[in-house]
Amino acid sequence: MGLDAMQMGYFIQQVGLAAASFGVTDDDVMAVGTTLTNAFDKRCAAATSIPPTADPALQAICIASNCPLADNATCSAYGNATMPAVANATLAGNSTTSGGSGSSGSGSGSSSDSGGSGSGSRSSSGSGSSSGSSTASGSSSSSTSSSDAVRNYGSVVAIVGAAALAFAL
Amino acid sequence: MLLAAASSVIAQRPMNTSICDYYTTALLKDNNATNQYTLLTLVVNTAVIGNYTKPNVGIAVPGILSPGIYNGTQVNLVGYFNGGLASSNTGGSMGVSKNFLDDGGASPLMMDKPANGTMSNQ
Repeated sequence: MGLDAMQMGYFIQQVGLAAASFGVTDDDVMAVGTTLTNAFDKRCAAATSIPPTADPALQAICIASNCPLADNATCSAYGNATMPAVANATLAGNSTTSGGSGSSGSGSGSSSDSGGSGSGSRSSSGSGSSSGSSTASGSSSSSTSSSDAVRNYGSVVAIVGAAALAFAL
Repeated sequence: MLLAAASSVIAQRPMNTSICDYYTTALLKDNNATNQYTLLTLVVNTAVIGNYTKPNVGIAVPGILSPGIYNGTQVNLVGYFNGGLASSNTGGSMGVSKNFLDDGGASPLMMDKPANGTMSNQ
């Protein structure tokens, strides 16, 4: 998975909202969101062990140029990570992004949040930062390999792992 | 669902108690591995498909599989989960398409299960 700041922001926001819906306090929702942001939402993040018992691996899922740059960024390690290609346009819908401008592809996606039975919703205070675009540090590698984070994040099981990380702190 | 009745107001977590320990106790009473797993399942499944169970203190969760808007930008992540995008890393030099909703989709998640079976992508 290679995403941009808006997609990652939405993803982290949903995790925060889910936690909040069970009564998790604002402070703890923010802690979960911050953990996910720091672990997966910083472009070129250096290899990290997630969980601590694992080997270090490249964890950044936010790879587009509008993703905030990690401290100790190691962009060359990610090679020329690219946004994923469309395999099935019908299934992909408007999931594709331009990769740099932070806007999703054109489409007829719904423009309002649906679902839930709560009386009003509030945005999670733990969502990752996404305003402004960070300076792009172009990679000179011509490799097309994706980051290790794709392997870690390509399934619901891996998402459980990420949430477990956030909750274990 | 197996949740004990939870008040909609949870007190501030003590600093020496982890989020996992604290909310497992608050929502499920006994802080054991099974209940910790249940808590994670509830949060993760809700994050993926939206609200589906109790308690819900009144916060609507559209879910990762729902298109939505973030900071004024339309977002739709469903292609990363249904194989629409070649977004999975199976070790090769290019992303491949994998449908992670190939075993019941949202239905087993609403029953606190990851999938109907155990051998699927889901």
